[in-house]
Amino acid sequence: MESLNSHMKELGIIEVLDRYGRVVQRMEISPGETITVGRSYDNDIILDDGYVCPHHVSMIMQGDQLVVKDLESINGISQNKYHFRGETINLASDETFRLGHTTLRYRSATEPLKPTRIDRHLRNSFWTLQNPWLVLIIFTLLMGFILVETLFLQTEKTDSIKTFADSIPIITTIFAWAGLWSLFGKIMIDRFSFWTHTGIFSLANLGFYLSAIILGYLFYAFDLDGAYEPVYVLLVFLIAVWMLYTHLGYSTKYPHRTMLITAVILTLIGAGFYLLETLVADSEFSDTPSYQVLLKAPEFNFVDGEPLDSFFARTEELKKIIDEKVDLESD
Amino acid sequence: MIKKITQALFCLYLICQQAVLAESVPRSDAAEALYAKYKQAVLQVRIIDKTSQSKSVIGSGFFISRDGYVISNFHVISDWIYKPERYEIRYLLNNKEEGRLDPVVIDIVHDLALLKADRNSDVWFKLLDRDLIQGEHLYSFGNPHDIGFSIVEGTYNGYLEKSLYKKIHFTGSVNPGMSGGPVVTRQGRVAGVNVSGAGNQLSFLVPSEYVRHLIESSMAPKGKQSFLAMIRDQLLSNQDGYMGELLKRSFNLIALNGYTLPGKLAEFMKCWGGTEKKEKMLYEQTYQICRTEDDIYLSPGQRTGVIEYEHDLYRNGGLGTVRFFALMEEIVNQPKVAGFADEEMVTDYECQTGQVKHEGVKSKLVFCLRGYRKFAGLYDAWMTAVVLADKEEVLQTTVSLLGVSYENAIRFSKAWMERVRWNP
Repeated sequence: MESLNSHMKELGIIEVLDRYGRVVQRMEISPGETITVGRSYDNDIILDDGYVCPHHVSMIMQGDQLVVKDLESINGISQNKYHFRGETINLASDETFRLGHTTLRYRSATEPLKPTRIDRHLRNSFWTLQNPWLVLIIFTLLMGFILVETLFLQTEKTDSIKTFADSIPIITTIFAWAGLWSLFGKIMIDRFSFWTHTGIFSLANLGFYLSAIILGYLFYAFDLDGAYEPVYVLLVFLIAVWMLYTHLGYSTKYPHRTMLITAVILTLIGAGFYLLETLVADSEFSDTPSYQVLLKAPEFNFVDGEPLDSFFARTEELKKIIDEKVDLESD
Repeated sequence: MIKKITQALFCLYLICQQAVLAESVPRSDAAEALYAKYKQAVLQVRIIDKTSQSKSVIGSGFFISRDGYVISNFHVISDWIYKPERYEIRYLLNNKEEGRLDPVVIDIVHDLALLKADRNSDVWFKLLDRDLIQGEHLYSFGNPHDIGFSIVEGTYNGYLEKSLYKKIHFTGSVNPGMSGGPVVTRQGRVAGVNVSGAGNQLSFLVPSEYVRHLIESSMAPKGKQSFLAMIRDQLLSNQDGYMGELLKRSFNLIALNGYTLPGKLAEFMKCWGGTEKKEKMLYEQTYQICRTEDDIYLSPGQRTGVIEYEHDLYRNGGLGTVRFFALMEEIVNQPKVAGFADEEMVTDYECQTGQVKHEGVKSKLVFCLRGYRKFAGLYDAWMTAVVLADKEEVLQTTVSLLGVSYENAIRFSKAWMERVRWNP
């Protein structure tokens, strides 16, 4: 095996490319070996190209380079826009030259290959996020939402520059997040996929915004203010799982199941921190009431609400909760 | 030159005239005489931290009997009431004699305390048994800022007209450290007790009638009661009194754009309002706030016995409906609460939200309650309601009731909401 590997290291490969850059023919060449190219059938590489002479060039491998000699052909050879006839040119690995309408590429057998592309059809249903145009659309939409939200928080006439400036930290966060995943991907599978990660994070954030808006109106319409927060938190959890799962899909080689479990665990850790923070905040004394009321224009509200007597009758529960706390203190 | 001589002569004339005026006002020697006679009847009341043996709070007090009964303010000794294991109450006399004081009975509503000293006193004050006359000279005793026993001359200027808790308006300087000191007439009769000052010679006194009530209540036969239970009973009884009065009345109503709302409910409320519209603001806010003028001192970090309410009418001024309501949602979720308290004294607020409909008006309603940890049965109630009527304006009405029973909180809040109307 070792001798085979050392033999391979010395080999060179000559590739014939079509007009689209696809390889249509390959031939090995050993050091010192001479290969001829032309239309005639006695050549080592026979080209069916009307612009190529019967005996157009000869090639010999010297060291890690390929020496190409034009055999006084009619149309000569060209490399990097330079044209040669009856001359000799040297090609390093991965360099090309042209004869007639055909392109030849020389590659050393040790030339590193491009990373294997991942088939997202098989691994992830969100493979379209590899499309830069789609990522751009999602990112633009998100920026639109952020600008609208920034605008919503302004109650004074302000310059549009300020509105844009307010969204800079958010844009920075998006790119920083995508950058971290790109680095992770580079470490794990030697791929950055920066724009794809940007698309994933942008889409998830769009999900967060849209969830808040849609749930806000929906729950306001039917007087379900109390359920808004738990349902929103649940949706955020699900979107976060999807986001992490998709990020993992573009930065690891893990199978679906492992990625899903990892995404759920990471989200649960995040949710755990959120829960811990909420518990700590709840356990700290606050001098002001804490509640959540949804408020939109009256025409979006479709329920009448309860009578005053019924509302105030329910406050007995509040009294019970407080009295228990006071009793505990007294004990 | 002539002009300068004229100016000099005029100045000389003014100086001479002032000298003549000063000479013509007879110098009052009442303060001198009163101080000389009663200096041994005034004490500095000291709350001593047992661990460090240093003064934690200082105030004043005075003997009201030969057998060593002393009057001071509740707020001077409140640290001892809540933590008797940590503090002790001591006194310092003008002749530098020191001793110990023990609380006997307190009046939390009027900020008074009756204490017993570990000694008798040959000099003591008697209470005034007549009405004061507007402008009458009064003399306030105390030990301001711990710099020494003092007497301050001032005048009686009637009772506070808009106060839930009757107080004398005294034009004279009552400074920190003088709380609990006596304020007497020329004859040395106690007209009131120093309780607070608002600067610029604007000070307030507890009328002596409450000192008399306190002494009488100490003599009334009753079972042994802890000071905390005493405070609780007094606060519950006090709020029952004024809340019952308010709820008996028909609420005074005001009109605010298309809304009819509760207005100034009683004379003891102070109301003010205005409209905020800055040039760049994209909405306009009209508000009316009413608050009881006075409150009850409960602890260093907490006042109680307060009613405060506020109506806010927000009008859209170019925000667009969606943006206007996004702003309103943010405002409504940031409660403005009257009254502060610390964790040792109250629980956290517990809140209930909902949507109600009364007389065809829909409102988002939030009702919150927190309990007094040391006084079971007393609560701070807070309610805010947003009327869902017009898409171009939002009315928010907010009520804070500090130190009320649950029943009164509910009765008042319900009565309040029943009077909120929209008449487009």
